[in-house]
Amino acid sequence: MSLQELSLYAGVPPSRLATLLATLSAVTGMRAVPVLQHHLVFSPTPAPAPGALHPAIGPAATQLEASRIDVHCDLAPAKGAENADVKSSWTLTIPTIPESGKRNVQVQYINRTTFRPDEQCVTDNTGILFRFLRALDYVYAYDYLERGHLFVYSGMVIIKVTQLSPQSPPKLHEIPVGDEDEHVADTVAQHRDPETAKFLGVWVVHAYVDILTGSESVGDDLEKVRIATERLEALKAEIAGVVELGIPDRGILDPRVQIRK
Amino acid sequence: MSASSLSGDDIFVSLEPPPLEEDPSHAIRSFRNLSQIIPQIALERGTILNVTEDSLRKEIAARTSPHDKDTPDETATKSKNSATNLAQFEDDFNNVRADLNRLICAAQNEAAISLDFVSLLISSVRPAAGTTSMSPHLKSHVPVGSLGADRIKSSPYVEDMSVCLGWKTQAVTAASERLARAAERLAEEAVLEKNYWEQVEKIAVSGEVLSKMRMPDYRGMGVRYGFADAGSTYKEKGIATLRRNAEGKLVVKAEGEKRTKVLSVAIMRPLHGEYVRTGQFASKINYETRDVKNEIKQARDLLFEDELFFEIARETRILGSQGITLDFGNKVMVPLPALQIVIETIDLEDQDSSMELDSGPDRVIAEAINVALHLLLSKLHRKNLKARRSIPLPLGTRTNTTDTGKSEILEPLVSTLAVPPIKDSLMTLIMDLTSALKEK
Repeated sequence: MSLQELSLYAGVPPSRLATLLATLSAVTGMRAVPVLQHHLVFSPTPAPAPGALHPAIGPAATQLEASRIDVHCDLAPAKGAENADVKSSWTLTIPTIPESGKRNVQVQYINRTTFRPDEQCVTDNTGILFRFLRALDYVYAYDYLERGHLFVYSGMVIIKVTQLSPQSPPKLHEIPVGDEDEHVADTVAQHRDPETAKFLGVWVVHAYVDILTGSESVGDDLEKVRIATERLEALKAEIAGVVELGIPDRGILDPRVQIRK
Repeated sequence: MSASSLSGDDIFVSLEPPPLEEDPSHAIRSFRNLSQIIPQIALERGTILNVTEDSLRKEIAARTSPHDKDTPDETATKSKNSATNLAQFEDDFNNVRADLNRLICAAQNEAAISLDFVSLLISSVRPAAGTTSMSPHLKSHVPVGSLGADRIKSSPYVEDMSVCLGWKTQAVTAASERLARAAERLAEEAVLEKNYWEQVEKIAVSGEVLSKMRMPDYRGMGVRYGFADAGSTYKEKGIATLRRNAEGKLVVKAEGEKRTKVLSVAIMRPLHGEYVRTGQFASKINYETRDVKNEIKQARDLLFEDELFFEIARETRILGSQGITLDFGNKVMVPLPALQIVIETIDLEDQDSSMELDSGPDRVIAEAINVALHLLLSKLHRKNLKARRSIPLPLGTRTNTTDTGKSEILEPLVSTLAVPPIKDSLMTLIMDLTSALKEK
């Protein structure tokens, strides 16, 4: 589905995390929901892949640049959490560069789809997902773990307070040709243990509202944007002093990769 | 006036030139005022009372022809006297005139000296202006600009210290009295505030949710005794202000009108064609309201009762097809096989009188239904809270299910109570049919 994501960001040092979590609990009226996700990032490649479809249908065939693809799954949450019985599912996200211009909130268009939980992707290490994306001229670039907490404000705004743990990508030159996808999938699967991962110190606060766009959407788009902006600004005002939500530089979130020069 | 009337002691000099007349004896015109004329008349004639009009006319007539009356000797004497007087007058006049001239000259001299003095002073600042008005004599003897002038500061004003000290003492005394009174007032206020905050602390320690209130007529502490944090979507949020009265006592003032009604469930069974109440139960809420904590608890319980009846009344519209009605806005009638449930609100004061039917199996049923209704509302709160905390769908997502038309409280109750009799009657019918078929 096509989404328009309105968001605000902030960075918090570890020393202020406890205060932030207590404030968000009070503001949202809920306990933090634990978050643990494994993100796999795929980049478009200019070279035609051995398994690519002919004629090529990926962006490498026709475009100068294309966005990276982020595929993430929700790993099993910590023991004792309320949603411990939720099955993990894979979600594929293709973001675009955030909109430019002077705005109160950041606006970014995203395409997102969720695989059914019973579909076998990387969980059984067959590398289906990798082969599927390679057919679209996308190859594995890197992966990282994301862990943290999630709140819901005013029934609309999702607040994620997370840490990232970048993982070392497997050395491709040591992988036999033809077995890249399976080998990479096996290696990546070993990165899912949060106990052994090394997380960065800073915590990223991401408050966002997703607005459905396109033919599936109901209601006035401008009205939805106005409501979402109001809620985000209300949240910003409510937690001002504890954390200052703002708009980062759009270049940081630029997912585009130049394919051809 | 005739010259013979002048006495030797009266000498009058006039600066006016003498009139040019033939008889010099009449050249004398003394300028005398009335205060001088009247004594002279009194001296001449003795008294003014003796002066009559006839006598004056005779005098005037005699004056006009004096040679007819005067004798030659008298005429010579008169002439000699008038010449002597004239000479005296001239001497006196000349003396006076000389004095006058002298005085005028002196004044003129003084004025010239003053002019020279001022000119010499001015010449020290503006030589050109001063020199033009200086006399030649002064210019020749005194250098220009040799005399200066300056302002001399006056001697410092010596204050009368006693007056200052008096004013200071009075002001300091007044200020100290005011401060003392203010300190007393503040001390009393501090005691009252201490009592107030001790009571607030007791409420906070007991687990109540305190928050800062900003209302048009009140800014201070308040307590949230409602169920909004528990998932309630009721219009009344259950907010009360914690005010301090003049005695420092904490007063809980709930917003909106005070609630006094509790939910009552009554069971009615048909008897001789009419429904008779056979059992009733209502929650007993009658705390000792002297304690603030009990007051808040009572307000919370009554709010729950109010919300419960509101939800039940709302759901009667949804379940109207099942025969559930709302009578007079405050009584819900739930018809069931063999009995009727009446759900209504009664006043706290009427609790004891309505609890006469305090025994019997229907009273137990009524109590169970009452408790079930309360539990179902709590379950509804929990469901709302869970929905509020779940990750929301993107804005604009079409939702196929609408929860607004769903009955969460009455329908489970009605279905639980209505199904068994219907199932029993259905089972009976089926058993009869099967037995009839078996016989055949």
